Amino acid sequence: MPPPSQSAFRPFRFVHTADLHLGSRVMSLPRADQKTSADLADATYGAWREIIDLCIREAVDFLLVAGDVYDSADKNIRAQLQFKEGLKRLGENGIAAYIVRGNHDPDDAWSRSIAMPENAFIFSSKEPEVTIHRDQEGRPLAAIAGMSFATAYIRDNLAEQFPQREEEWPYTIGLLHCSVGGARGHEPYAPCSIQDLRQCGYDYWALGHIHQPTVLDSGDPHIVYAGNPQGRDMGETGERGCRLVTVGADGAVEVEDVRTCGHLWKEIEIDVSGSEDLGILEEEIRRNLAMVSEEEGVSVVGRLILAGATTLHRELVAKGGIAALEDRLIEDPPAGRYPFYPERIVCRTVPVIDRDAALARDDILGEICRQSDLAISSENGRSRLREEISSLYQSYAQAYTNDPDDEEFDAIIREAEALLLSQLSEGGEE
Amino acid sequence: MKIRSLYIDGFGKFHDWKPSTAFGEGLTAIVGPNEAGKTTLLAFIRRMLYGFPDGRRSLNHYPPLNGGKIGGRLEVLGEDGREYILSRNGVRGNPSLTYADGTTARGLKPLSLLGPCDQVFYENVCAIGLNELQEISTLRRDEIRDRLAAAGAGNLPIREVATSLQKSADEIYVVRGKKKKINDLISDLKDVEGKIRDVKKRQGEYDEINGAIARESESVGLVEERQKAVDEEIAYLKALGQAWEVYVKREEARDALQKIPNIKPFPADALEKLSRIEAEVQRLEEEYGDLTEKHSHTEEEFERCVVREEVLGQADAIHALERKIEQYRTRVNDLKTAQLEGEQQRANLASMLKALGGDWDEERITRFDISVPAKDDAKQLRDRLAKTANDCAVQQSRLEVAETEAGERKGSLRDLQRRRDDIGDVADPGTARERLGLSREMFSEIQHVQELETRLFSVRQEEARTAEIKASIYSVRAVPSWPGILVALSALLIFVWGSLTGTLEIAGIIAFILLVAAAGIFLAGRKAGEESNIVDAAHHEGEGETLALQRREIEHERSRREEKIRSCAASLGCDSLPTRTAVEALVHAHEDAVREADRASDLDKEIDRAQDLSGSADASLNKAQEMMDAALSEREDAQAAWRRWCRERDLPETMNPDLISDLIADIRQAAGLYVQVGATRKRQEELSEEVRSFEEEIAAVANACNESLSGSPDVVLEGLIRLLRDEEEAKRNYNTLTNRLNEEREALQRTSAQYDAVKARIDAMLRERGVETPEEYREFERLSRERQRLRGSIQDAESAIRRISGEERYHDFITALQEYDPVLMQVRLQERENELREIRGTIKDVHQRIGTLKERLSGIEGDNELTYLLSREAALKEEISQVSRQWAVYTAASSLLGMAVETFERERQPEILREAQSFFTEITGGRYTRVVKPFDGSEPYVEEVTGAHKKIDELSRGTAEQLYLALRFGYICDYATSSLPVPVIFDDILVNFDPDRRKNACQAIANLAETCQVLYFTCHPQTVDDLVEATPDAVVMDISGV
Repeated sequence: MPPPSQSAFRPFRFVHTADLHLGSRVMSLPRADQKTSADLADATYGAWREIIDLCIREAVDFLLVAGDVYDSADKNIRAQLQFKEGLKRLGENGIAAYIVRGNHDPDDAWSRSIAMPENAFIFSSKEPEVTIHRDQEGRPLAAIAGMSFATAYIRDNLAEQFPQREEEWPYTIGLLHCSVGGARGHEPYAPCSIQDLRQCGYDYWALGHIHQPTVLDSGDPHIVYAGNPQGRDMGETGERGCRLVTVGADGAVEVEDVRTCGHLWKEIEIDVSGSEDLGILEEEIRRNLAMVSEEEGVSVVGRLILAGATTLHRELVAKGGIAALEDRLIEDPPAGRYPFYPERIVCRTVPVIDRDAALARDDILGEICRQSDLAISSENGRSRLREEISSLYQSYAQAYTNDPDDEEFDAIIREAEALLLSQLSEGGEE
Repeated sequence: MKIRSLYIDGFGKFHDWKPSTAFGEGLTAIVGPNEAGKTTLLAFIRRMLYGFPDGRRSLNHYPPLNGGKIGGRLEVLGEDGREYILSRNGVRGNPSLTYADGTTARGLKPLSLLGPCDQVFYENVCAIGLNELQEISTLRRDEIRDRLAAAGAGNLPIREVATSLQKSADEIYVVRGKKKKINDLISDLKDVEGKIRDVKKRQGEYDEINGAIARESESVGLVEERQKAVDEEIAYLKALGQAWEVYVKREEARDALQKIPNIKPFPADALEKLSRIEAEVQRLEEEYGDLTEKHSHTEEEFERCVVREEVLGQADAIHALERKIEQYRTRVNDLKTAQLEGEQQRANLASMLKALGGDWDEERITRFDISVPAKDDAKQLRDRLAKTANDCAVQQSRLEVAETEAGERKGSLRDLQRRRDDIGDVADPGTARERLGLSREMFSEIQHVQELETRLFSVRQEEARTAEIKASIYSVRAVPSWPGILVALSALLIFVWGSLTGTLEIAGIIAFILLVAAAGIFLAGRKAGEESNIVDAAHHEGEGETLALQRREIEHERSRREEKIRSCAASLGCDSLPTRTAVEALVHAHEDAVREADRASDLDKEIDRAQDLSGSADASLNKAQEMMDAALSEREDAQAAWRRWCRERDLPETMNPDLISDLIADIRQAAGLYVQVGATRKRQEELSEEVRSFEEEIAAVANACNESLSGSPDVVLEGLIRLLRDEEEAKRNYNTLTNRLNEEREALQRTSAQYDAVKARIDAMLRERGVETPEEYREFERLSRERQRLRGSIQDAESAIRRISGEERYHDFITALQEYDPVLMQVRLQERENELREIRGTIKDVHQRIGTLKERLSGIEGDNELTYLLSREAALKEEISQVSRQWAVYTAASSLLGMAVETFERERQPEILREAQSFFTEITGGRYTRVVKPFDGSEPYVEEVTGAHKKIDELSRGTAEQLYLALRFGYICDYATSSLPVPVIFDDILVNFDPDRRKNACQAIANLAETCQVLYFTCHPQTVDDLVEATPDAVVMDISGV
């Protein structure tokens, strides 16, 4: 296949998004007020509105949606209507939308009663289709090749079915929902390799499925996962948005990340080593959080991880210090230009005890350290503790809990040991 | 590690301070009173070991009060036998560890001297404060058990931690537990899942509902088309119906028009004009009739009108009488009243005279003197009588009082004289007191003499003892030799025992030491005897002479006092030297005599005063008698004057003077009445005359008017007045009638002329239309109007039909109306209307169904609950996961603790208990011999020397405290043996122990000090003594001088 003549390109812009998951669950926060809960629940819709606003504001030529518009398992009609409404607004502004279906919203999972507006082109699920996008004068701007999921569980390599680029095609974009190289944490639907994509000779692969924004290749061709435009829990932390792509007349491609998330999920680790006063610690945390939200420039939903050796360990872990801190941060959120919502405070502090010294002792503290080491290193010591904590995981709560794996079990034992050491040291002062 | 010494740069009160002695390697007792600085020193040692807390901790930081920087040095002896210096300089300064020569101890950290003993462990194990022991007495039995268990396990709060962990875990989840956190969460989650299912089910119906709506919309379209056709037909039929009525009216009008002749139209107001003229004619006819009738009535009335001139002539006289008629009537009434009043006054006078008495009449009344002077005389006499009677009563009362008082005074005097006679003859008080003074002086002297004899006796004894000492002073004291013998015997016995047991070598050495000791005792005894004799002899010689001098002085003093006693006895007339008992009795006798003399003297004074009082009472009695006689005489004079006054006025002498004022008042009233009777009689006569004169005037006028005089004069006069008024009215009427007759005649003439003119006008109108009568004129005019109306009706009907049909369909409509059958048309319309109703019902039903479906649709479209529920579901699952993990941590911690305790109890505790057992036996003075913790996990117990067992919670508080100490000591001992020994610190822990327990505990501490260095801080010297007794080589560091 001969490479296209670069001078043939006409400058244009498009937005690439995917995995909107409109109306899907966004982890609600403990004890959040009604407005915050409603804001969070509607966050995916907010992100979609942001994308539409971006398209209109930037007067892009078209929008690419690479699957998983909504979760068909939820049969969420509102989500489909909101999607349609967004497309309608694009249509009113003369912007086209090219859409492929993903595993969460395959062809057979859309309501028959909701017809998409005329400016929306939905690719077939039978075979890859190629359409030429033209400007208002009818001159071709881009060729877009795409294929939808017919059903949720597509295990075939769809990329292989895509046609080779043809000579007369202008700037060519492949639009697909797929799993490149078996990405972790995602089902391996429509698996393919980077090579499969490269072989097609396209200029840009607009992919969906992987929620973490990822650039697999930044040129020749660009292979890009737009990521989901709104994080929904602590598994989807960090910046979320869509890609604004500008193709110059010389064929130069500029890919810009544009934030669309109204709430940013973030894990914040704070070293509290040496803290001796809960009030001072709280102030320290507040300063940290205010700084974080200032830096992010958006409302932040954060998980605080307190770490380090502190005399406050016992106060935090065994005397409700963590719960009190959570209450205080919810009742009186950290001052800052953007709101901060504490998702949870995880205490990974350790007591200020020289564990090696404790281990060297013949008393009960030393014995606790030895027993805990034994439980981690020997199967015999481990089995007794396993048995002790298995009662919950095998009870009526079984359906809702996961038996901790070995790594988690070790962490539990270490936490238990730290808890004991700090509690037993109580009263050991003059 | 052991602390050798320390240096404080600045810490609390200490500045640049170093103890004068070094700490002992075993036990050191640091003693000083309160405020001496023991606690400060104790804190200094602890903080030098583990650091000075920074300012954030709420502790006493002991800032240097007397200068210097906080910190100092500890000189310690390490386990390697080398000396180190541990220095700390300031709160934040890093500690330094050097060798004694100042070189840095490389590779060693300050705390490494203490081994694994961190601060927590140190405070829990190696430092024991008084509070810990005191607390035991405040704990419950089970708490004591826990505390003792903790003492044997490093003093860690194991029970509290285990309970707290279990509680925390149980709040989350318990096997078969209800109302736990995890249950609540799962229940919430199930609830949310149920709601999600419902919402999803509704969402799934969306397409189905849309299909149903489309189907319904299609069917309703067809029905609506049919509805339109029926609507149009009904409208046509209704229009024909409406036009039919109008059409019928048009046809009727056309028929009627043809029947009316063609008449020239009348002006619009023709009939009105005719009626107006006719009414005028009628009115004039009626008016003429009325005037004629009225004129005849007036004439009749004029003829009936007659006037009496004689009455009108008396008009002035009648008016004059009329003005006075009311005055006449008043006079007649006054006369009657005066007559009644006169009769009443006379009756009252007769009644009053009768009340005064039979001998009283009008003449006597007028004669009796009722003037003011006469009344005053009577009053004075009455007052005089009353006063004299009152004086007599007063004087009588005074006389009785004086008699009573005189009697009482005499009785009192007699009583006093009798009491004085009872005492009899006694000495005067002066003499008695003088004799009492002598006897007391004598008693005092006898007491002095006895004291002197006692002193003399002891001096003589002392002299005898001194003489004995002098006699024995040169003889050699015999030193006892039995201890030496005993020690030598012991040496022999040990030697024999050694040879028997095969330990001859050790026994030989001990026996040799004992023999040396015995020899020493012998030699010491002998040497002591030889010294000190010479000094004692000189001392006792001087003492003998002093005693002899004292004895002589005492004997001289005794003889002087005996002489004085004899002199006193002579004055009192006793024996020359009476005994102490006799003098004591004598003093009592004289004390009694003085008391009797005082009493007799007091009574004599009282008798004199009573005699004076009795005399004055008799004088008062005589005076009262004289006053009484004078009052009686005055009363007699007053009574005689009263009797004389009565006689002068013909009144009885026995008359009560109090009644005389009433009598005079009655007489005055009767006299007044008598005068009134006279006045009333005169007024009667005047009134009678006035009445009679008026009646005569009335009679004269009546006669002039020819009227009769029947009836009372005032009735006659009223008749005359009425008659006069009637005649005056008749006269006025006559004049009026004359005027009216003239006016009526003129009106009749005017009306007749008007009638003729109007009659001529009506005749002219009838002639104009060629009719004879007004009725004919009217019929012609009606027919003309009917023609015009019918023509209008026909035009209106045709316009209405055009409006209903429209101009285009007008002729078709007329044709249809010509063939129109109202009954058939009504039936057809009814049929169409029924059909339309059915169609509308159908359409309404369909629209309702569509509305319901759309409502469901809009509910689904606007449903924002699903996302919220999904989010909540995710959050609950996350929370369950977190809570479960938390539970796992608590449970794992609980298990780890259990396993650690189990291992510790199995592997370490037996050794600790063994150590503790020996301490416990020591502290309890051997009463308890064992501390047992069975391996089968049953309750620990202690065993008495008798073999009896006691559970921990059966121990007395005191024994529990002792066991606590023993366990702590045992733990320390075990730790020191198995690890690096560290200095242990006791802060006056024995302060509440009784002396025996304290001694035992000190012994235990002494034993502990063999294992590790012990620093015992106390303010009780007795404890220090006990510690030193238990450990002779203990160091005592007194810091009271700091």
